[in-house]
Order: sequence, then structure tokens, then C-alpha cells
Amino acid sequence: MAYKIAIGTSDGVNVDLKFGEVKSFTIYSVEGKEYGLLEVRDVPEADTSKEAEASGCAPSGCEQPTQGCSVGCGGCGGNSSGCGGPGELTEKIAVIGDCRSVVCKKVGFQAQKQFEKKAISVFDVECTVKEALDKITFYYDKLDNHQSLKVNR
Amino acid sequence: MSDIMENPKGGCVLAGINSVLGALDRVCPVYHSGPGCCMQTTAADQGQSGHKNSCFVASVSIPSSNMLEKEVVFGGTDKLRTTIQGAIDIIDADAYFVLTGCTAGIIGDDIVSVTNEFSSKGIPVYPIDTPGFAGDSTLGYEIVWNNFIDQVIEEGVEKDDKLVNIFGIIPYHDTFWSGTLEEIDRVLSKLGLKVNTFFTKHQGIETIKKCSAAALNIIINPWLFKGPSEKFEQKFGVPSLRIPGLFVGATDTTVFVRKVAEALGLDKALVDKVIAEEEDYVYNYLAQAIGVVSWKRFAVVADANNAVGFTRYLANDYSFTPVLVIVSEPIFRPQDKERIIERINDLEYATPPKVLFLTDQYEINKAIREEKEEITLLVGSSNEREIALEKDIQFITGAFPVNERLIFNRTYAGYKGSLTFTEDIYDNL
Repeated sequence: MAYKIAIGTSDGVNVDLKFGEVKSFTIYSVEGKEYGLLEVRDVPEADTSKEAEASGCAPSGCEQPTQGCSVGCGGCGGNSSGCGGPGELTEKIAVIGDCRSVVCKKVGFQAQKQFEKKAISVFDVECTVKEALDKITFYYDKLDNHQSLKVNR
Repeated sequence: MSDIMENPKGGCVLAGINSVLGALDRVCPVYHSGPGCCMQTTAADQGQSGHKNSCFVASVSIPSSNMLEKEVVFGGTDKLRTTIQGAIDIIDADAYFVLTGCTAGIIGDDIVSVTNEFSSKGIPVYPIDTPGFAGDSTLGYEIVWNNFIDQVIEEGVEKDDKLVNIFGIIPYHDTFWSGTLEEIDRVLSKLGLKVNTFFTKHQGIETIKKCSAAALNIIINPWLFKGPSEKFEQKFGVPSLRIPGLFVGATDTTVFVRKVAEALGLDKALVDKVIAEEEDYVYNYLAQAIGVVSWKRFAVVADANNAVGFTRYLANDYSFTPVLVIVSEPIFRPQDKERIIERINDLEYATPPKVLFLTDQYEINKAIREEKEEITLLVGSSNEREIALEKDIQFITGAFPVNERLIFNRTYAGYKGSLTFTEDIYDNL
């Protein structure tokens, strides 16, 4: 089964970006144990009003019924879409919604929870892109083929 | 090979290790495992053992690296390092033991190299690298002692010919462990011996370090501790004396005392005096209540140690009729089974009972339900209460797990314990 992995990297060599810093995700496609660079996906620039809302407490943000609630902006009462997290975050996650996992240097708690909802695995590690891909593809390959991860020592 | 078991009595290896470490004074386990192992392993043994829990650290207060998917893929040693450091910062323990759960065992994290970073700085952090799936609680007890022999117990300690070590009673996995150890301690102390029970009297890691000074290792269990006792003798030259089954009542306890006295060459006059005193104490009470408990045809469901003790006391000392004995812990070596059967069948005048080795609750219940001979008393664990109610037979809880009683220092073992046992049989009439 083919799947995709999204990586936050500035130079294509090291996993060196925090999830929040990522302006464009490097997407790899994987088939079995083989992987290759697929594309680079830009994260759409958030407009300023949304940014203000996402960063916390712009009072006007809470009055927009279509927007989710952000942390500390006075609750999400009356919002039919529920607590979907800050708008910018939701959009950014949607960019890589078709990926099986995301690899960044750090991923915040809110984002981790959002990914969990979409069954996307989060790996916040500092290593080379190659190491991350090798380890993750090895893991998924075993998992998909119902093989034990047991290491014989 | 693999089967599903209903109501297993006890937990995984980790549960057994946790029980032993929990009973040691000021010792802190650190789990390298998935989230939940701390609580579940504590629930498996301590949680079912008469409502008594380790009060230093237990259950959710045990430090754990909480391995998740990321640790499975990328290895969890970094997280383990910070967890150990956190434990050292927060918990003021005399020793820390890093245990591996199934997750760490499967992916093969090298915990020894991490613990070495701490022990090389003089911080007492020891690895016990045995994943949970390796076996059950009883194996956990042996694993801990194997690790103590390898890593903790000191060599070249000056010998003390009055010092003895007690093995074979698993804390929490035997609900009456503290009372039993205290009774053994009491009787042996009267003989002028110094007793390492390890789990009572606030004994801790220091006692373990120096226990190679002992003149004798006394193993009170018909099968447990074979490997560690041989290893102990090889490394420290301390011989072992196996008492094949817990002693309940004056007859068997006197045999125990005489065996220990013989092995250590104790003064016969003193031994005779102690035995006379203790027997007088017990028989004086029994004489005051002759016939209050009427004759019973009994069945026992318990771990091997207690099954031997209860059956022999009730049949030999109390002249009840044994019908059925079910040893409810997994025993694998045929010679161990033979030894247990021999002890249960070697009764003074009663006809030997049927002896079964069953661990599955469904099969235990079935054996009792379908027993053709009449049973009027059942000594078992809380798990057997249901079948006792179903068959409407008198029932007393005498074995692990015990969920409906609070048990501090109560024991059925030894001289005094047999009086408690007899009282409890009357109470449940």
C-alpha cells in the first residue's frame, strides 16, 4: 500500500523545522520499503485577521461563527463546528491531510491532538531525513505485513 | 501453544518484579514501558492482595518512560534517560531499578548502557532487562533475585553463622506474606538466629547487599527459587535448605524448626525448649475449644506453597478429610509437580486427596462443580467464592487473590498462624 510522509525540513537533509515554522512540507511517497521525493507543498499564507485570531485573543475572532476557537479566547460556545482548533492550524493540517505521518523537530500539543483525530502519526525527532524515512518505512512495512518488530539480540 | 486463560492469578514478570521491589524499603522501580504498565502490574498483584499496597511508590506514582509510537520507531533510550533523571530528582530512594516492559523488550532498547551512565556517577541505578512477556509473577520473583545476585549482593562479606535468609514467600503475590515472614522471624529469632526476611522490619537494599554473610538460605516453597539458590551457592557459598511447602500448625512447624536446627547444628536443649514452649502455646488454646468446628470434607485451591500447608494442617492436625486439592499456579517442571503431589499425599492417616494442576478459572470451577465426592469446606482465593456459593459449601479465603478482606499481618502459617486459621474456619461456619 502506497502512502505519503510529510517532513519539515529547510535543506532537505535534516529534520530541522518545528511544525509551526514550516512554510512548505517536503512530501515523500512510499511503496513498501522504497521511498522517493514526491513534491514540496506550500502552506498557504494566513491573512492577518486569521493570524491575530490564531495567536490568541483578538476579541473579534470569537464573534466569527465559522471560526473555531483558539486557546484563551473565551471558549467556543455557540460554535456549531465545535472546538476545531485555531483556523491557521486546521488549514495547515489540511495541507498534509492525505499523509500517513508527519515528521518535524517539534510538534505542539494542540497540533498533535489534531493529527491524532485524523489518525496521522506524529514523530517529533531531530535527525536526518534519511534516518527518519528509513526507520518509519521499516516500521510501517512490518506493521502492514503483520510482522513482529522483535529484535534478536 | 498459546491459550486464553480465564482469571489468571497474578500478572506478568513485571508484576512480580514490581511486587518484590515494592516490598523493599525505599527502593524505586523505574519503568521503561508503555503508559499503563505501572498501574496494571500493581493492580495484578498488590491490588488483589488484601488491600495492602506498597506505600513508598506504587501504581501511578511509579516513574515511567511511557513509550509511544515515536519511541517504538526511533528508540526510547533518550526518553528513558530523562525519566531516570526525573526519578532521581524527585524520589529520594536508596536504589532505583529500571524495568523493561513488553515494548522495550520487543524493540530491543539497550537499557544497560543508559543505567551505566548513572551508576558510573555513583548513583545506584540498576537494570533488570526482562520484558513483561517473559513469564508470570513467580518468574518475576526469581528474576529479581538473579539480578540481585549478579549486581547488588556484595562478595567477601564476613560470614555470620547465626544469620539466615528466607526465600520462597513472594510479597503481595502471597497475600499473607508479611504476617508469614514475621511468624518465621519470631520463631527463628527464639532459636538465637538473625533473620533476613528482606521485606519486613524496614529491611532494604543494605540488607540485600550484605546477605551473602548468611550461614543458610531457607527456601519455604516446594518448587520456587531453584535457579537463584544454585547461583547463590555458587557465587557466595551459602547452602540452601528447601522446606517443600509452607508449614501451618504445630506438627509441620516443629519439623521445620528441627530441620533448620539440624542444618545449622544448633544447641539441642535450646531447640527442644523453644518447640515445647510453642507447642504448649498452641495446644493450650486448641484444648480450650475442642469440637467447636465439626468434621469437614475439604477442598483447597491455592498456590503450591499454601495448598501443601493447608492440606497438611487440616488433614494431619485437625483430622478433616481431604477430597480435592487444586494447585492454581503454573508449574512446568515434572519433578516439581511430583514433589508437590508427594507432600500433599504423604498424610498421617487420611486417604490422599485428588491433586490437580489447573490455572484456568473455568477449569477450576468445573473440577469443583463436577467433583463426585461431597465437599463441605473450600479454602481458596476470592475467585473461588462464586463456585462455593453455587455449591453452597462453606468457604474461607486463604490464598491470593484476596479482594474482600483487609489484611495487615494476618497469617495462617507457623504456630500462631494455625490458631488464626482455625478461628477463621469457625467464623465462616
